[in-house]
Amino acid sequence: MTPRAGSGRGPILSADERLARALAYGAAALLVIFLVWPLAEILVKALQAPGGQFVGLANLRAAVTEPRLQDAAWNSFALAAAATALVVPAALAFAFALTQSTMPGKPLFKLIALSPLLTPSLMPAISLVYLFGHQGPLNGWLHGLPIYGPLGILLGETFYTFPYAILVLLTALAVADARLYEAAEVLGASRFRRFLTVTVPNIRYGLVSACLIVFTLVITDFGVPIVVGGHCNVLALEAYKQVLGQQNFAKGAAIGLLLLVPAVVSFGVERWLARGRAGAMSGSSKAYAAKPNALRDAALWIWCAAVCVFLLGLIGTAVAASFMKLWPYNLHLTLAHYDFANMDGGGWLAFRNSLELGALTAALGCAMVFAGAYLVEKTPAPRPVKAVIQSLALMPMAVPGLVLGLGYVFCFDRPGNPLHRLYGTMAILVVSTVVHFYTTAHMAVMTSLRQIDGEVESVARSLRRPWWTTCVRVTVPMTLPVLLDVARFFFVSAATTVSCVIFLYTPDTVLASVAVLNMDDAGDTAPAAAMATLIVVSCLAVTLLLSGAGWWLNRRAQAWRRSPA
Amino acid sequence: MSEFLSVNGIVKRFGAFTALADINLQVAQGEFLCLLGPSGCGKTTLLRIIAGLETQDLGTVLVQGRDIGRLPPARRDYGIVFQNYALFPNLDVAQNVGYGLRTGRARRRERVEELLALVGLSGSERKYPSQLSGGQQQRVALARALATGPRMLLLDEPLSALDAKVRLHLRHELKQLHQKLGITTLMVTHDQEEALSLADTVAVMDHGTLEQVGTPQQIYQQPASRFVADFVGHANWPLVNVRADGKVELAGQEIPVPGAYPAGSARLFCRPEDIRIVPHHAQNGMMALVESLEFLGPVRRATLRLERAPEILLQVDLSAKDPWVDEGDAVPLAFPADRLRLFSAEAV
Repeated sequence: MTPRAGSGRGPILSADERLARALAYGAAALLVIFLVWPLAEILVKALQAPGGQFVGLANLRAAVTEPRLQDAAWNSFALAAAATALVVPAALAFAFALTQSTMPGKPLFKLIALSPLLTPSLMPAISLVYLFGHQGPLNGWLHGLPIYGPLGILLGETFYTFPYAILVLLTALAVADARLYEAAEVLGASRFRRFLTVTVPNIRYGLVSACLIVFTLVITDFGVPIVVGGHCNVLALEAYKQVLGQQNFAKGAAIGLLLLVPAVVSFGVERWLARGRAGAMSGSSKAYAAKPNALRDAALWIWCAAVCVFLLGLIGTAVAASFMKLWPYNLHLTLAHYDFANMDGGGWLAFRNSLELGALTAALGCAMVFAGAYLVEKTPAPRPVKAVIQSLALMPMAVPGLVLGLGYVFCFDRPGNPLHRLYGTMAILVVSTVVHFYTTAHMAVMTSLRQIDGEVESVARSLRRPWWTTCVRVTVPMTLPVLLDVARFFFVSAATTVSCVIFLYTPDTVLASVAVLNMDDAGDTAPAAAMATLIVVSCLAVTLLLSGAGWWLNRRAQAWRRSPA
Repeated sequence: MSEFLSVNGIVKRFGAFTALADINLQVAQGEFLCLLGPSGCGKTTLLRIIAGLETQDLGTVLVQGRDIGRLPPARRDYGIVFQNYALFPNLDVAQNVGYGLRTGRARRRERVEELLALVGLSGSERKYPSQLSGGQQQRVALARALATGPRMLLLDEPLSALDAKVRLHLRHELKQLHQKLGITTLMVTHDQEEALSLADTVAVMDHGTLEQVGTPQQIYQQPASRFVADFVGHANWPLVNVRADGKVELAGQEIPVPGAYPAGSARLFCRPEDIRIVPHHAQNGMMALVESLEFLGPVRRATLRLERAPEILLQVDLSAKDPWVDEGDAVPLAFPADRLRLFSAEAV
C-alpha cells in the first residue's frame, strides 16, 4: 500500500510562494483597514445619537421624514434624472459621430469631449456664473430665469458628466460588428432601421451603464451645487453642510447612507449586466468601417461642434476671466488673480500640495493597484485571499467620494484609533484618494494582466525562477503602457477631486481644488478661477508628459509588439 | 526499463465535479506516454498535478521512489510546453531559451546555441516570438523546456494550435528528439492519431478515470472498453447474438469470435479495414450489397448492407489491393477471427 497524502497536508511552498502569500494577506488587510473599516464606521455612526448612544434606525427615520431633507432628496433625484436624460442622448449622438461617420476632425472632437476630466467640477459652475450670472454677458438668454438654482446645476453637471458618458458609449459602439450591418444592408433595411435593429441592441448595455454612471455622479456631486445651487438644496450638499457646518455627524452619516443607495444599486445593476458579456466581440467579428454620407456627416459635425463650443466655453470662460482685471467690466489682462498671497484658501501652498498629492497618489496608487492585481492574477496566493482582494477592489466604485470621506472622518478622527496619527496628514489624503479611485485603476490593470498568457507564469515556475524575476523581466514591461495610463488617471483624479478630501484636509495640507471651493465661497471668484486654471494646466501637462512617455515606450517595444507577418 | 514516475491514487475535485477519480499510472524511464481523451476527461488536470501547478486532493506522485507530490513546481525538475507556446513576448529567442539557465554568460550562450541547433532554429537568437511562425514558436518553447536538462518533459497539447502540415512535421521531429534524448515524456492530447504515432504507451482517459493503458497496437486492436474502442479509430457495431453454446451469430450466420461471452445479444466490434471482401463465395459465407462508395484517398470506404439482415449496415475500407467493386454489387465477406471483440449491447 502506497502512502497517501491526506487532504489536511497542503503543498509545501517555496520561499517565493510564501512571500506571495504574505503579500496577498497584507494587501487584503490594507483594503480592509482603509476601505471596509471607514464604511463600517458610517453604519455605526448612523445608528447612534450625536452623543454616541445607540438609537437604531431613528436617525435614518428622522432623515427621511424631515421636510428639508425630503426636498433635498427630491431635488437630487429630479436633477440627476434630468441630467441623465440630457447627457446620455447628447453623448450618444457624439459617440456615434466619432465611431460611425466619416466626418473630419474626429480626433480633435474626442479630445475636447474628454477635456472636462481635467477640470475640477467647480470650474464649469464658476464659468456659468461668469456667463449667465447677474452681470454675465449672456444673462439675457435666460429671460430672467436665474442661473443660480436647478438650471445652473443641470448645465454644470452636464459638462461634468459628459466625458464619462462618452467613454462608456465609445466602448460600446467600438464593438459594433460590421457583418451585422452588411447583413442588414443586404436584406434591404433602411438606415434608420439599421440603427434601430443593429446599433441600439448592440449598445443597450452601454446605454444602461452610461445612464447609471451619469445618474450616480450627479446625485453624489456637490461641487457644482455649492457654486450655482442658490437656494436649491441637494442631498450631497446637505451632508457636507451637516458635517462641516454643523458638526452633526450622525445626521451626516444618515445622509451618507442615503447617498450610498443609488450608487450601490447602479453598481449592482452594472455587475449584473456585465455577466456573460465577455464575448461581445467574437474572434471572427469584423470592425465596422463607416461609408461616407455627406448629409449625415454634416449634421453630426454640426452637433459635435456645438457640444465642443459648450464644453470649451465652460472651461475657457473661467480661464479667460482669471487673466482679466474685472470680468466682464474691465477686460484688461492681468496676473493679479494669481497672486494668492492675500487670499484665504491656501494659495500657492494649496497648489503645491495638490501637485504633491497627485504625484504621491499616482506612485502609491500604481504600486498598490499593480501589486493587488498581480497577486490575484499571477501568483499562487491562496484562493480565499484573492477573492477578498478582488471583491474589495470593486467596492470603491459603489462608494461616493463624499461617503468615503465621511467614513475616514468617523474612523480616523477618533482618538482611540491606533491610526489616529494619520489624521490631518498628507498621508491620509493620499490613501483616501487611492482608495476612492481604486476600482477603475484595478480593472484597467487586471484587464492588461489577463492579456498576458497565464501559462507564462507556469513555465517560469517550472524553470525554477521566482515570480518576482518574471514580474520584473516580463510582466512589468508588458503592462507599462497601462501603468502609465493609470498613473495619469490617479494624478488627474487627485488634482481635481473635492468630494473625499474636503473632510480630511488641514490648513497645512489644503488642496488646490479645495481652495477653489473656499475662495469661491468667500466671493473671490476670479482667484478661484485662477486656481482652477492652474489645476487644468497641470493636469494637461502631466497628461501630455505621460502620453509622450507611453508613445516613446511603444516605439521602443515595437520589435516585440509587432504582430506576425 | 525501470520505473521513473509513479502516480498513486490521485483524486481531484472541483466543487461537486470529480475531475480525477483515483488515478494510478506508472511511467518507465525514457518512456513516451500519451494521455489521450476527449476534452474535460481530466488529462490536463493530471498533467498539471504532476507539474505541481494544481494540487491533488488525495494521492501521491513519486519520481524514482521520491514523493514530489507536495513540492512546488520549481523543485520537481521537469520542462513543460503548452499548447499556446507561452513564450515571454518581450524577450527574444535567446533570452527565452536561456531564461532558466543560471550559468555564466558565455556558458549560457553556448547552451542556447546548442538547443537552438537541436530544434533546428540556429541563427534566430535575436528574433522576438511575434516574428516567428507558430511552428517556430513551439520549437523555441521546446528548447526552453529542455534548457536546464530536466529529467522529465511534460507536453500539454503541444501540437494542437498548429496547422495540419506543420503539426505533422513537428510530430515527426518530436519523435526523433525523444529518441535522441531518451527523456521521459508525458504528453496530453485529444488527437488519437498523434497519440498512436508518438507514444510508447497510450493511457486513454474518460470522465476522470483511466480506461486503458497499453501500447498503441493494444489500444487500437484490443480496446479494453467500449469507450476506448469508440474513441480511438473508426468501428462497426452490429448487433450479434451469443448462443447458449457460446457461438456468436451475425444475421443468423456464425462468425469466429475468440473468447467466451454470456448468452444473449451483444455488440460486435470490427474495424472497417478488418472486414475483407473475398474473391470467391465460400460455403455459408456472408453476402452483402454495396450500398455506396466514398473515396477517401488511400482507401475507398464502402457501405454494405447484409443480404440476410438488411437493417445491418457495415463500413468496409477497400484498398487498391482488394478486389474492385461497384455500387450495387453483391460481395462475399470474411471476418478475421483475431480482430473481433464483443461488448455489451447497451446503446452507444
